[in-house]
Amino acid sequence: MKLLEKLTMADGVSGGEDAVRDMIISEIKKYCDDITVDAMGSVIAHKKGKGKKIMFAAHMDEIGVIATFIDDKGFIRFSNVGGIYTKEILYSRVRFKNGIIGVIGAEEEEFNKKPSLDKMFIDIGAKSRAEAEKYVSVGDTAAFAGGYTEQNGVVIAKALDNRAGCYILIEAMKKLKRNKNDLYFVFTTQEEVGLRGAKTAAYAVAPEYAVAVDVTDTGDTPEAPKMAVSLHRGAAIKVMDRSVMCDVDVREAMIAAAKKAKIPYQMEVLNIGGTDAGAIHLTRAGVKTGAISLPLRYMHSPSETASIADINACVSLTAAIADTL
Amino acid sequence: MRSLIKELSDMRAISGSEYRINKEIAQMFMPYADEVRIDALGSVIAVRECGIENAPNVMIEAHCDEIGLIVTDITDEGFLTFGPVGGIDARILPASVVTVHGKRDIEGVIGIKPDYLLEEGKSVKMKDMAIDVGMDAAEVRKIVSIGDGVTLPQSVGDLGKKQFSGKTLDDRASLAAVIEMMRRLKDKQLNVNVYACAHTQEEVGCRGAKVSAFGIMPDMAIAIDVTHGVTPDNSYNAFPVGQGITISLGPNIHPKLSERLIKTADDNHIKYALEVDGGETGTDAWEIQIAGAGIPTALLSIPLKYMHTSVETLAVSDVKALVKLLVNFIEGQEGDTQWLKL
Amino acid sequence: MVEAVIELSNLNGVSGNENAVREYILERISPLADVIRVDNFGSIIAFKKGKRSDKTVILSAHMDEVGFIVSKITDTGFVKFKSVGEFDTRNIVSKCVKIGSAGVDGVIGMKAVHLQKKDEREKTVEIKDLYIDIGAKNRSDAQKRVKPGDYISFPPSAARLGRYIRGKALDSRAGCACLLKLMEQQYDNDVYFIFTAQREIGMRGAAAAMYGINAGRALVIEGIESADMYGVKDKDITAKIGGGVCVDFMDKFAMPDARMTKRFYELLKNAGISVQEKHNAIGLTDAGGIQRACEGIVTACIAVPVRYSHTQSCVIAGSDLEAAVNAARIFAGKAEF
Repeated sequence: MKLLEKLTMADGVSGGEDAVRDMIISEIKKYCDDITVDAMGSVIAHKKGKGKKIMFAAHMDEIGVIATFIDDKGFIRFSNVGGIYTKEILYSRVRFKNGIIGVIGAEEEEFNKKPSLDKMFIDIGAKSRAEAEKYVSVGDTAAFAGGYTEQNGVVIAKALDNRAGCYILIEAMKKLKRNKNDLYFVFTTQEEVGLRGAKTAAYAVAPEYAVAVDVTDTGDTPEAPKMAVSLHRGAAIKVMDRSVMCDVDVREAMIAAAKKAKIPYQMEVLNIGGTDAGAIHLTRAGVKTGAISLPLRYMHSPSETASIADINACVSLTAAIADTL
Repeated sequence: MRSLIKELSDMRAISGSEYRINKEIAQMFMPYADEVRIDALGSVIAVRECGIENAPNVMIEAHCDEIGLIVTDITDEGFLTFGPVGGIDARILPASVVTVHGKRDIEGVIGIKPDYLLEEGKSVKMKDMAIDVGMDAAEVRKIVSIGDGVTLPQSVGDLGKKQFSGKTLDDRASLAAVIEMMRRLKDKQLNVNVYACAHTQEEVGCRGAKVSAFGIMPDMAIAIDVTHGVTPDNSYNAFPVGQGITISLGPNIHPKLSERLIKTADDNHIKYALEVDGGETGTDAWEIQIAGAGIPTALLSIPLKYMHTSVETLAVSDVKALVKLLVNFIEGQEGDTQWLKL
Repeated sequence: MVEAVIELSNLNGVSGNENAVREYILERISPLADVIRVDNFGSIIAFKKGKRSDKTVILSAHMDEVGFIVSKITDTGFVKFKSVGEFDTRNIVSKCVKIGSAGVDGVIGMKAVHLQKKDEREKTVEIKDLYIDIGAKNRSDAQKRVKPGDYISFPPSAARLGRYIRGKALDSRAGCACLLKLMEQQYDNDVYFIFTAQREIGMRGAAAAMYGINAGRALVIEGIESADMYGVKDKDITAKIGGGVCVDFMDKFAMPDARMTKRFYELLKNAGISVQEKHNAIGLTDAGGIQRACEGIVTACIAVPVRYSHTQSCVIAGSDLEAAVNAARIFAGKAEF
């Protein structure tokens, strides 16, 4: 899983996906006919075929923070990029694009209550505004820092949401040889801030069918919110989330493909959240869209946890559906 | 009219599951249309061509999906837990007999705990309810899967001589009006092409209308939905049933189009009230208006009591008034769109 | 017996208005009893002479169900109502009802969810704030069809539900169905079969029906809330549906005769009857009424577990009905306890 490690350790906060993009392009060059990067920064890789035009999408971006103000003492105030749980980020480390590490602190009065973002700051050890500004400018984004671990059949890393999805698409591309359908593998930007990259990419590709590959919550930890999805039970075939009711034909095709190739799968009904599928299926006159989800614990934290077997199941299902849809 | 409303209200399809009924709806349009198609999101689009070159295209639409529930898990005891699809009121659910759309349709009872095990005065949250289908888990799993849709029970139908109560009159009563309009226009010479649409997924964000409007790109569109009827517990922003439809005004509505609808209603002695929204109307009109380069859009509504419950109730005369207005509006079209210029 | 209980469920018999149920039962039992009378409360007292009549036994079940009664009609033609018997209003919103002997259709509506504030959604609705819509234009239009005092019940809709049975009023009609079945056979003892009225408003019919009967012991067949539904902790489950008939040791109103109950329970277990204990001392049964009637009657109580009791969608198991009948047969057949 070297590639997954590389992908997760790269930083690509929404709007600043460059490093991830470069990594992906060099990885997939050999496995497609044509690569373009659109105005939103999404990577559109075409793997030609004579059959149906199918778009696969996984987003490259991750949640993070963005510097908004630097005070006289060199402390950096910030805003969130994407959905952040403020109570979880206190004392987390963030990494700016130049590699500078900062620690998230909070004003004293916030210690005893639910912290709010405007009472928090980033400390990069600078002693003055001038010193801080040598490393960080207002508008710079930073990702949450975290290591990469594989053990007991799981992988623990930051940004598995959604580098795991990128990894799944890349590995599926590698598996697919002489594909009959006309395939577009799209690595989208700005999903975490409103499914934006997928919207324009889908408009450009104008596919007949689409499959988004992303992560989903699980209900398998102690006293977790009720949800049927669990780690190690296979690829999750999405029925719905807040952004999409998945197309029934695509859904049934996924189930049939999984059964045929004996790929473990489970059904996912999510009453919160959204994925690129939400943007894609509403493109132009509508796109029949489904989604494959990787079950993920501790989403949007530096210690996201997924099952390696599930990741492999998602790869198999993605490859299988590309040929059978 | 009554039987058409009943037939449509009896159909069962939550948002995203319109494939269960869209072919049937397409059949209902067939005798009155030159072409009927189903688009990528499952919406039914019935086209009536007038045969005149460059004639304006008019979209008349209602949505065909319904609010309901979706199975989220099957417990070891065989109970089905569920979540909402669309804005459903959890307080209407206890003791309801619902239909679970598994491999075959089966009935289920939504049960809550007895009152002595509940907190006094508190309603029960959806996550604390389950559907009881009278089977053990192994039996249930043979028929039901996570993600299967669940629909509400049907209401009584005729309520007195004038009113009608059913599940899903939002928005199948409007759809009945669209179908009836197409029937009445059948042999008439028209100056516009009519796109009569039954759109999907309105209850989860007006999704079917959005993509259908982009695909058709009509010169004008009239969305038809329901509005709140006056009841003993609400008269604010509500309209009495049996006293005509509403014609909407506000930023979501093209002023010339609403003006023409009002004039058509006045000229033909059709009863209406004006309904005003300062912004979002919460209907397909909101999404249709911004499709492509923008579409002149209007909104007509039928007053409906108990919206989003299993006992939605309306007056049949209001649906008839709506049909009359639509037919007169289409017949009154002279084949140009100059009058829409702002 | 499943067919009978479905038919019985579909009859309207709100407390004080048990006519339809009474007529149904009278028609069926006239060939099965030696003496039948209806008392001033409307309870049915049927006597079946025994083959060797040195003992007299009472078997009793109640006929009535919870429901509503029209209290008033508003200016705008909506029907206000009061409850008859104990009701959890959580279970009645957005339901259809039948009003009066003509069975006028109505719906219990509520302000749409879009119009409710968050705190409203979290509260239960009180019956005083609810109303029934009969599609009337105004008060005089409504008065043509409905008047104060009309009884209101849920529409008949009983049916099979998977391996179970669902319907309104099963908590009482389960017992009625058992008694009907039990009357088909001959017993050594003299047996009174009593179908009581007005249980749901305070076990009123049962006590009255006992006057003039000289019986050694009585058995009440009830339906009790099983509470074995989703989300209920094991300790709070009263009984399991499909787990057999419950032997009741105590409820809010009665302590059935402890010695007889214990012996009876053992007897049933030994006879291989599907029987379970009731793990709860709440609820009300006719046992309280009968036990205290006249000089007192030694009374036991068995119950069919009912899920979602006192709603339009009670759920019971046919196998529990069978078990109740078998248990009562043993009770009636025994000479001594």
